[in-house]
Amino acid sequence: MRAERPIIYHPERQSPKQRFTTQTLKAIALAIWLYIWIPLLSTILWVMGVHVTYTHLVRAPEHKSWLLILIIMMTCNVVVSSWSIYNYTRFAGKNRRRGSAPVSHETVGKSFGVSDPETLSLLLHERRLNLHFDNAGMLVHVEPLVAEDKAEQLEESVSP
Amino acid sequence: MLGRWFLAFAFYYPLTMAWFWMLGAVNYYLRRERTSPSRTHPPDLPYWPKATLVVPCHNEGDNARDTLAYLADQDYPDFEIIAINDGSRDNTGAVLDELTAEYPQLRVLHFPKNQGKAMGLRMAALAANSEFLVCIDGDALLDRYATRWLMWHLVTGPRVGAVTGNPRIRNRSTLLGRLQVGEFASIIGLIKRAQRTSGRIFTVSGVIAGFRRSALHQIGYWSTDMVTEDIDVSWRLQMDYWDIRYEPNALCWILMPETLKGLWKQRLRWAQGGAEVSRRYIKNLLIWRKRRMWPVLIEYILSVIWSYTILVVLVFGIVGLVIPLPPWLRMPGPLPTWYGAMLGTTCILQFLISMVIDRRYEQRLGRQFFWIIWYPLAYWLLGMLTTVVALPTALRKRRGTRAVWESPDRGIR
Repeated sequence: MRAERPIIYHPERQSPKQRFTTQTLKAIALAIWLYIWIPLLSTILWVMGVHVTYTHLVRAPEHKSWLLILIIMMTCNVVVSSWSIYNYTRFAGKNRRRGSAPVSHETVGKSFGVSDPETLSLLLHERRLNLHFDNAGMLVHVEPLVAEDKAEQLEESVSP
Repeated sequence: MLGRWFLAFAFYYPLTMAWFWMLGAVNYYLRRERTSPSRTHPPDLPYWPKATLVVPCHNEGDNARDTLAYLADQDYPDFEIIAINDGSRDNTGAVLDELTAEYPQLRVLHFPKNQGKAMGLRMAALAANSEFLVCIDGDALLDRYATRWLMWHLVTGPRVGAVTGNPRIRNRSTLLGRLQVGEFASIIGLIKRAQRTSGRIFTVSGVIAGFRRSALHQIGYWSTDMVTEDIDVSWRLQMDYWDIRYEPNALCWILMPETLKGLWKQRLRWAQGGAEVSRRYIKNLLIWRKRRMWPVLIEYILSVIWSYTILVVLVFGIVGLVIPLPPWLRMPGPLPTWYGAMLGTTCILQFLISMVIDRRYEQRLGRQFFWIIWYPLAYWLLGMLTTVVALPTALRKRRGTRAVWESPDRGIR
């Protein structure tokens, strides 16, 4: 019969301070571990990559496949070059379509549902604004925010 | 037989596309980039219209000061800055308000509730005093000369609806960060250059792009119900026959996730965005007049099919190790053979070409090359899995569901 193992394992009973210290040390150790190993792993990957490339592409190349790769490269080159030359000869220095005139602030305003000149003026000139929207995302209210010093001055001038 | 077809597609699709990207990018480099002036000497504009620099912020209290400082320091004679505090729960609003005293060009729009990035951009377009908008993210640092580079395209090209810049990763403490440095330089930069050569771009980078407001007006501005408003606006602009250009000199320093969870969430969102946009516009694109967008659509569809193909190859490859499969379903084991070696070598060559092209924008970029060896393994797998997971989500999504902010992982600071 196996002896009952007198092991005590209650990590949840650690104080918060103990827990914090342990976790911090673990995190530091893991960081160091990764810091050391990642460059090494990267080097190993490079070595493997070079080895696989040498084995399959240089030492025992599949000639038929190489020909196919060459055809792909040549086709891509022909397509890209011809397309570029065609576009250059047909469109360079010519604008077939005209540009559009800048849109007025009023027109832009209307497209966002702002037709009131006062609101538009606030949007164009005020430096700090609160913008309120309804649930459908339509702008419903524009409220200028008065700077604190200006607000204080305003309060002082109004108070008796 | 079926297995052979799967394998052939799994191999030849990425190989062909890699060559398209490389040759297209080299073509772009030789024709446009090699002879362009250096980043710090952007060309003069025939006239200098006002520009509006737009920065939507959601919980950016820690980043807003730096972002605004870079914006205020732009080498451009006439600009205003519109910052949007979109329902932030941190001190973003207070920080932005405070900065209005420091920067006279700055105006702040506060949204009491989170409305999403697209709504922030829409309101900035409404409040802008100019025809040209340069939009960046709230945690991005815009290079001093970027506005001039972007504005040069918008001012000199009357049919240019948007210009996308060159995002560069700031955080490189972890392997994930370093891999993304290589990815942005080689995969994303190379693809943007090649797509510019072909004439149509899959997407502007939402983190740094300039727009012509009248072009946006014609297409109805940014959609508020797409998870990636940048892909959506890019497709709609080009479907309305506006050109989108890529300007590698317009640098913007960005933060990217450095945890697997953060990266997974970000890439899942990107994958879902592509699927949503394709699903919504595929019908409109299938007419002769929209033929210039066909390569973008076809490439996207093939990439989705490729993701599922790789999944099938992997699953049957692993199952085949345990259970004997019929010959027509047999897939190769996990160790790379001629095909794997060829793809890996092509991938490394792609990185090498991009590093050579990109070295004029960032010194000592070659240091990151060492870490690239992980890329084919880690990121192809990630790209495949996110596409496989995102497609059903995008297909099930109901039109009109508002996309709002979720604070992303921004790596180790």
